[in-house]
Amino acid sequence: MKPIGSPVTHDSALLHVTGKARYVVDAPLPEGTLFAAIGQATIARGRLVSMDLSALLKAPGVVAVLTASDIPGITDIGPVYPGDPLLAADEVLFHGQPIFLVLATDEKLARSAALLAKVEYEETPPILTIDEARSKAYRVRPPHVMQRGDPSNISSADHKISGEISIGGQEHLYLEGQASLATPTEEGGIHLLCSTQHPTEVQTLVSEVLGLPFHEVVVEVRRMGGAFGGKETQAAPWACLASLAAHKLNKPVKLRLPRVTDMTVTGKRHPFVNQYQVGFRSDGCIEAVQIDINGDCGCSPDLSDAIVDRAMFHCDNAYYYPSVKVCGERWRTDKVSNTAFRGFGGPQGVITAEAMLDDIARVCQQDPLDTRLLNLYSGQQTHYGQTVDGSTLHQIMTQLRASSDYDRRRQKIAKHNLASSRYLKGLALTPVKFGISFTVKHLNQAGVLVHIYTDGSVLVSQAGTEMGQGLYTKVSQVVASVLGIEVDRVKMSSTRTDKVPNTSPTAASSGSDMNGMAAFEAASTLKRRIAEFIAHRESISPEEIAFNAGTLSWSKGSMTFIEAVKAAYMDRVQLSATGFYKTPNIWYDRASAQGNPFLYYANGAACSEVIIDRLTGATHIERVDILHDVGNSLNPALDRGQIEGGFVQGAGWLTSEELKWDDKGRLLTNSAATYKIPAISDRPTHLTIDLLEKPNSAPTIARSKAVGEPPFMLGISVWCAIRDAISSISGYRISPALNAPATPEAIINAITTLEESP
Amino acid sequence: MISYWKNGSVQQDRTLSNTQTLLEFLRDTKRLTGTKEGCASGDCGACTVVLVTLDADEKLCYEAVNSCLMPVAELDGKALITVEDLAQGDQLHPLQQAFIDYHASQCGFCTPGFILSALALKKQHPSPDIEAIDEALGGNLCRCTGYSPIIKAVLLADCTNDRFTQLEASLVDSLKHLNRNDDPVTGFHQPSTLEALCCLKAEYPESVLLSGGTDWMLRATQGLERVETLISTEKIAALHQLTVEQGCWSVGAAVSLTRIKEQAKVSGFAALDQLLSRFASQQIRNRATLGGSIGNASPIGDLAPLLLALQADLTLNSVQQERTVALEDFFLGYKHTALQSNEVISQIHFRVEEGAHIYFEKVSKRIDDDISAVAVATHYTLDEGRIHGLLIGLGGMAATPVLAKDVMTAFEDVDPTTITLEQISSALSELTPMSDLRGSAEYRLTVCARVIHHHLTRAEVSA
Repeated sequence: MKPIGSPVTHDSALLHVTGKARYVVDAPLPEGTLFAAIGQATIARGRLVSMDLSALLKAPGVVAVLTASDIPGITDIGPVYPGDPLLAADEVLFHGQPIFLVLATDEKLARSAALLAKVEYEETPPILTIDEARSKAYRVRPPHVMQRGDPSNISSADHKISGEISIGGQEHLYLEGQASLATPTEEGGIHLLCSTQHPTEVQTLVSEVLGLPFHEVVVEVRRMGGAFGGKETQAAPWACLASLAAHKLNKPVKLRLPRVTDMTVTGKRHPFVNQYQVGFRSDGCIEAVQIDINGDCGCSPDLSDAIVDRAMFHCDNAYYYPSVKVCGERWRTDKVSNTAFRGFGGPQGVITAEAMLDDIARVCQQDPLDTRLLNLYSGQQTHYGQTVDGSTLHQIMTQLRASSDYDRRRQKIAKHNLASSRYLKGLALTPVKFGISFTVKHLNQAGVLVHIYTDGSVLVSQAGTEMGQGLYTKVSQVVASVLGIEVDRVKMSSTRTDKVPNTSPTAASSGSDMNGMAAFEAASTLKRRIAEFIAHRESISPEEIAFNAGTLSWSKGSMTFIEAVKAAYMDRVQLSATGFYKTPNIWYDRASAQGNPFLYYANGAACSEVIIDRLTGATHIERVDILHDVGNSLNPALDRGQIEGGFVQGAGWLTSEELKWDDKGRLLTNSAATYKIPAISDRPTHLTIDLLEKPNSAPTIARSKAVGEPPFMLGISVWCAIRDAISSISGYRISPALNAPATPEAIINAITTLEESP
Repeated sequence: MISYWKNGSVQQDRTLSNTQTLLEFLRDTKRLTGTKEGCASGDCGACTVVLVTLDADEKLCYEAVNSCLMPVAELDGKALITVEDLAQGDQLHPLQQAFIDYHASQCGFCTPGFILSALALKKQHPSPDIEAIDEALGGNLCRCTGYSPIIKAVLLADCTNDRFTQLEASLVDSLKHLNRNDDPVTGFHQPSTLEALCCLKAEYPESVLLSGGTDWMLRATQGLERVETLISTEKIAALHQLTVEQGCWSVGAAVSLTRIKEQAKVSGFAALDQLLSRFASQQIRNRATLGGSIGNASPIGDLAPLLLALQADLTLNSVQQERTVALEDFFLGYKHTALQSNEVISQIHFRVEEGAHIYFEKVSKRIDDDISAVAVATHYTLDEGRIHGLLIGLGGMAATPVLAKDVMTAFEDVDPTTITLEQISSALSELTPMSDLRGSAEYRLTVCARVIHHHLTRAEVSA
């Protein structure tokens, strides 16, 4: 079996099913470990007037209480721009913000003690919505505009419509909450076990908070119990706090967030309220568009600049807008700072385009799929100047139209809806085109370190982190493939900042593209060294030697990989190598808002059929057909896992996952009891996933394509199908107003509005 | 001390406190970290373990439970299976192998919980259908896979001759002879008779009565509350009686919701069966009891609306007396009941008439394991095309579960085909439900009216 392209099982599967897989909270504790709990602000906005922590120090088991004044180095850990104080010193930015840290001999004692603080505040009424923020020009970052041509053409088109969509945020609800275990080293540094997608940033921030050179801090992460973007910047505060306490007290310190705390103090997917105006011909062809993108960033910039940018980059989804203006605002609200979440703003842009396409279709009395196909890219440029070939998108959509039996089902559903008083069905086939690369250019780099030991076993350390997506497995397949050995001869080491330095977060779907390529480089270097050594010995050229199935063979002879490695070692051949990759040909000029920010686009489409209950607004996904473009798949089993999991997560975002705050800025949906992610009955009754096996035209590892985020947006077909079902009440004349998530309540509201309209 | 069977042998352990959970005991005391904490509130299933007990016929009964909600004191006298016990050396359990083969784990954090839920299911029902799998796994959340690989693994794993089948004889024997202490943990009482329970309640009027404890334990784990005395009803045989004779149900307060659901199936009581399919999760239903659900007096508590519509009665006991109270008179206000501090609920009685129309609808954001925005139970008979004996129990529409009296009066002796949605809405107008994260007052009133209208105008017999 050739390693690349095989459905190799996840490298930790055996450990997962036996319960032996260790997450940060499972690590055996060093002697004398103390447990930390955070104290939290009980207002959303205002000032700390006084903080009496004396009762905490008298509480059982309490060893110390730390506040902002105990921080020796930097106090603001904002990852790109300032705005994220590690502990509030004066100003309170959101309800639940950490204001102190308690250390005790037991976790429950620390948590109980934290409740004893007496804090006085000077409260200011919080700003909680985009509308309020707009009226007060309350921003975390300035706006950005992308434009081509003259959007005033909208008025001269055959038809002109406008619309608005309010899109909810999303809680990551990774099953493993945030956790860090910090151990002081002999020289006053820190070794940190941390559940993070960004070990280097954690290393950097811990060093800066403690005032240490970066080489004194080592961050290690073997695996995460899910992350989805929620451990990109959001792991750092807890790592810094645990390290601060470990440094101060010279004791190991464990800090993990109980679920309610985790949901209160970590950022979420950004809610958006987006508006569009569009001018189009009577046949549904778009002529000019203006889209206003408004992100609710919460209390600080965090990654919001890049997230709102990505919403802007993707508000065309797969459609060509001849004249277009896109304005992106980064509004500030007095809530926890919103952050990365699978898709990184992209989904909120894509759904705006899809809502608009449905609205155009209703006006033109067209099947929405025809409107979509009509406007699909075919070789034009996006509003930021990148050329979109579009042929893959066309192929995917037409192929899926046939394989899902779309047209016949469309008729059947229309008939069903006429006859049924209680249940309505809806159908939608929507595409996704997702740009692959970090839009922050310098992040597009990765390093890998490969060792071959003299028994022929291989150890790989790389920049990327494992959060369940199977990155380690894919990278081991690449290395095994280059060296011509079995995958089980390649072991993946945990990701450590002392093995591979200056790494980028495992994010933006880039993990296997970048680390796979760097691993390919490193393994190829080792292969070349061994081949050159054997070739010299055998007086042949290195190219004549084939590495396959654990054997090196050439025309006149062969030897095992192990024999070759042993011989190379005896001849003092270096059996350790690094590999490095930087994504080529990408740039974006912010001043002109033009560029080529993506190496390529990942494409896919989903056809979803839903059924909704007119009595209650309840929804169920009956059938889903997906055709997704992963290039030459590195591992079809893992890719299918990403596609299915991403789809269900995307559908959850748009249906049952609803975040609610009260008027004091307190998060009401702060637990798994009140915030409902998809459970087992929410999966589609029938699900077919096909991979479009077509090599990537961009020079990626084995011509594969990134798959982490793009399938998330396939879930948008569910939201469009719900809207289609509701629209049937009007005989498909009206495109109902429907915000996301389409909860049963939102659906009932949309239904009653249509029922009452003439 | 508690005594329990685990991994082939009887073990004895000390516990830290009366509210220490089984999860804390496993992870912190025993350092068995395969069982995970995802939420510590019974909502994610990552902490699922399997309890094995003997039923009345001395057959083994495997049940998945949330270890985060169970006081470890209640482990006493039972057998426990955690993820560490499934494989024998390198020999994986069929479920473990299937999870690997079908790529059913990604991040792996939920995996042990899923496997344990699946184990309980497969030991009780060796060849479950998809519906049974959904029901058994509805309390386990996975954020990575989208679930279908997990279902495939559970469907295809053959567990009929797994290591627990091989251990069966010794397991039965151990459970029969496990030394059960009446008072295994300080501040945690487990009386074995109703009389003893009443005496304890008289002696400790401030004590907390646990009958499953799936709700109260959140106060310990989330609210960090401590309590001096906990009294468990679990070991009182008299409270585990469940009889159905000619439609008359008599249910002991400590009967689990799982058992009630099985009885509803056997008795053909579809509304109750459907209700319980959507009541919390399998893990919760295995521990939660009817007495606990009523005594807890949640304003929603799906069962209460149905029991109100069935005009259920409660038997309340104290050292001094036994009295009967209609359920309708039991709920006095938000989380406030007619139960005196020295009283306990011992029995719940209701009658299901043949031919009666009994319907139940739960409205929530999610099908599995969610709390209702609105729950509606409707009960009536049709006599010559007119509605008689109309009873409508509602959850989520007031501070307590209530009867929709105005609607009941308005449509008594009415031809259902003449009833309009508007009439129902206006009859409901006296109710002032709250707006909260589960739904606005407006939405609650709207769907409540729609559901009642549907219940009154559908014509099939479902009881």
